Amino acid sequence: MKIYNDFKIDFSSAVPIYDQIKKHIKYLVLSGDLKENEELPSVRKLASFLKINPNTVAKAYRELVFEGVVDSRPGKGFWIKKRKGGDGEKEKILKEEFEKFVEKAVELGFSSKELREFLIKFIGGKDA
Amino acid sequence: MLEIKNLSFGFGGRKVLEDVNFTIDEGESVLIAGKNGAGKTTLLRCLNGIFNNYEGQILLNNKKIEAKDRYSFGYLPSSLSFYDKMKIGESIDFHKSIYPYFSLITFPDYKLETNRRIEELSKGEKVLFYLILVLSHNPSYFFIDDILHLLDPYLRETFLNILIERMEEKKLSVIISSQTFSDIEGLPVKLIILDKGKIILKESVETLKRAFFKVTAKKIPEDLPVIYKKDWGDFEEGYLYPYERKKSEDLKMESVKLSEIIKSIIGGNYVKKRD
Amino acid sequence: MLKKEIKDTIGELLIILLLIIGLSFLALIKGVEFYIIPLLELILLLYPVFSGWSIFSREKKENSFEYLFSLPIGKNSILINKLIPRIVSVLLVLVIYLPLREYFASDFFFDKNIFIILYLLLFILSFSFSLLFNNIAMVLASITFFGMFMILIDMKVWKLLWYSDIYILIIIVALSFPIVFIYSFIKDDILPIKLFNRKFLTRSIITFIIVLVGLTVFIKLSGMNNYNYYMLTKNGKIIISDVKSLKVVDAETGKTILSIDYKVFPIVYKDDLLYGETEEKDKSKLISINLKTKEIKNIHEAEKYSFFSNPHINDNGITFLVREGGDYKSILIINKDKIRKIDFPKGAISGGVFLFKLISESPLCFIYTKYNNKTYKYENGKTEHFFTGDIKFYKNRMVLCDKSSFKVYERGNSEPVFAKNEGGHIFLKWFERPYEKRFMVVKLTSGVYIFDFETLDLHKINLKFKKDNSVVTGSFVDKTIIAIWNNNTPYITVMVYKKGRLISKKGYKSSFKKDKYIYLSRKGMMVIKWMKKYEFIKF
Repeated sequence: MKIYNDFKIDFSSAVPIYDQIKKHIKYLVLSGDLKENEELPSVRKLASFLKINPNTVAKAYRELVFEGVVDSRPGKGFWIKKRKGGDGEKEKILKEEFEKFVEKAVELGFSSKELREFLIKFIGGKDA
Repeated sequence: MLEIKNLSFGFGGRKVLEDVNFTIDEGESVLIAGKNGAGKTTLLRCLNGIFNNYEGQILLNNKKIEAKDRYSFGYLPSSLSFYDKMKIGESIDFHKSIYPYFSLITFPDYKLETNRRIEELSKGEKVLFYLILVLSHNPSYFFIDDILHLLDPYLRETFLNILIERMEEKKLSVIISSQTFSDIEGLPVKLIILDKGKIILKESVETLKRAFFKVTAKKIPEDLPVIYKKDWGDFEEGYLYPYERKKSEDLKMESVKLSEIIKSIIGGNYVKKRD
Repeated sequence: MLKKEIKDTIGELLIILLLIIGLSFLALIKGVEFYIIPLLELILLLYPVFSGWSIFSREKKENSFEYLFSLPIGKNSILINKLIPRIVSVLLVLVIYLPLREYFASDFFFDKNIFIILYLLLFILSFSFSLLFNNIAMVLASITFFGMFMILIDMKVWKLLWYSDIYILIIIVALSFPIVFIYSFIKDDILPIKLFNRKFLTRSIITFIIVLVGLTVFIKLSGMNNYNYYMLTKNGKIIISDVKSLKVVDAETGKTILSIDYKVFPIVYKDDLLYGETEEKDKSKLISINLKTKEIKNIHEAEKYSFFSNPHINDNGITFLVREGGDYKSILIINKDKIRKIDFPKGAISGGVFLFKLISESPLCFIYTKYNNKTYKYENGKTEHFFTGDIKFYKNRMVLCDKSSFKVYERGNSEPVFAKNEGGHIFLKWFERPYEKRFMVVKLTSGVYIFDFETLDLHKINLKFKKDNSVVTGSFVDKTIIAIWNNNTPYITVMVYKKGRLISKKGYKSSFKKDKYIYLSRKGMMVIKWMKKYEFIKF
């Protein structure tokens, strides 16, 4: 399963563990590594794999359900939700996230030039 | 829910615990840290019926705790106190006769040799056997007193997986007192730090990590809340707590692991500042 | 929990039972029993020590307290679960052993009640010390120390005379240890053990001192250790000795006739002379006090802690046995002013002697009866078993009464001068040892009789009494007085017979119920509440 690839919790990060899980899954959805209707690992399995508190995994999954990224069927598990609308919807979500990102970048004092360079470097890095 | 209210305890005129307050929810996992002699073992002994002459209250689901409540407790003492002359089989029978819901769990790749005596086991084996025994009576609250380091890394991982399974499936609460815990970093959601019998820090790991930073600079500004500082000659390294990250900062700051947070709290002047 | 404790106990129980069985078989072998029986008794006394100590010693040794107390079992239950199997096994061993020691009935044995008390005392004490000491030798040493301390207290402070009193009081003192232990166990935290022991020890020593002082005050205030020796003479004089002084009271008027400040333990009275024993710095003395002239005469001196016992009055005077250092050493014969001492040949007499009768001085011949009702005869330098049953003397006559026969012999005649082919029992109290009384009461299979030694008449009388009744008889020239009482009621029935004919029967009520005994005189009886009080009831 692709979800386990390169999935490590950074215990030294100030970003809460559940947030790290959320981000990882969202990124995989965005990158297409996690497809629609693809089943996510059970809470216990993921918690054991990551050596973390299962409640933390459960919290991440719960928030993903709330945000509409993941679907849950009680007693059966978690699935990547089927996207409503087409790529327009995708674009809209990304735009919202991007707005937050730009806001943060400004907060941190990035100039627009620096931000552009950063993005190019980031995407380039990922592609490589 | 386990509630500890104004717990104080001492022996021989010496105060070992002073006004300790905290709660443990179902399924919650708490890490109790502190220097040697801070009162960690004593605290666990108060919770597990070894010390009963404490002041204050220990409440389980809002009722004062009694001996029979310990059916839902599991305790792994650092002393590894046990009937050492017993054979493994006998001790399982004995434990079983006391806990009605006992069902022996299996540990992957480990076979119990029922004819061996407990005293013949190595320390690590004894920890493992104790763990198996205690988890087999299906506790809701599991107290582990600084003993896991005696297990080899492989067994530690296996054990951790069993714990995670129990936490998820049966809402097991885990209370660990530990000094070395790199492999259980992800387990605790709450951290309690004891010093000289008092709680000096009680915080959710999440909140704590957000307000904890390591800063490296030539000279760390005086106005920052530095709780632990190391001078490397040409630069200084310091830990800040509590600190809210500013929008623009010239200093090099990074978040740190839980183990490092604990080290800097118990070793630094965070303690002194509170006195 | 209980299962484990039972298992632990059964192992020890089996070992002790095997030891009892094994040693008992060994003891059946002649010649070996001399060594085996005391050993058996000793081992049996070690068992409660071990059982009591084992209650927590294993936990302490194995360091298993933390595990034990973390179990969902309250401390009370832990204690009960541990105590019950041990109490049961200790009692079981006692129940098995008691009939056995009765069977062996050795001189080495403690008295049965003392053994039971000691056995239980050892259990409760070692139980209290099970957390304190790491090895059983320390437990034994401390119990021994406690025992010696209590003996010292009794010798120097309490000065009690009766074993039963001493043992009861020692038990009360000893109980302060288990009670404090149970209290501390429930109230205190057991870990760390050192701290627990410190508290337990402080508390028990304080309790021990309080109990000891309290009991001592109680003993002094209640007069428990004040003893009086009473005696009623045939002519109605009451002799009272509280050891420090002597008083003679007229029984009928209650007036004090005589009072002497002299430390004396009265033994026997004859012709205005009271014979008694007195202790001086380095010796014991037999003295006589003339109750008319107050004159005190030394009769015989012996080494300290000697006893002058088994007085026997007959026409030739009085004989005493002299006991020095636990052994009967000699016979003292006192006839008016003449005193003669005959030393016993070695091994001629041994054990506790109930009655003694000197038959001839040269060659030396005598008869003595032990408390087990066996009579031995010393003749021609040899001691031989002579008779088992009741025995009584009058002048040159002797009656032997056992389960199957009643026979009267006369000196120099091997055939009985009187015989009846049925057995029974002669009533003879320790305080009316054969003072050559003419009449005696005997219970045979066919009924109760008064026997006249002078005429050899056996008069049947219509007298019934129950098993637990006490009987005392007095014979006065021509009549016999019989008093019957029960130690659980204050009522005494007194009957007077003349030549086997009942001439009066009357009931009396005493102020005393338990522990009473009676001296009879012609005019009334003295009821004595064992060493404490007396009353005179006129007929």
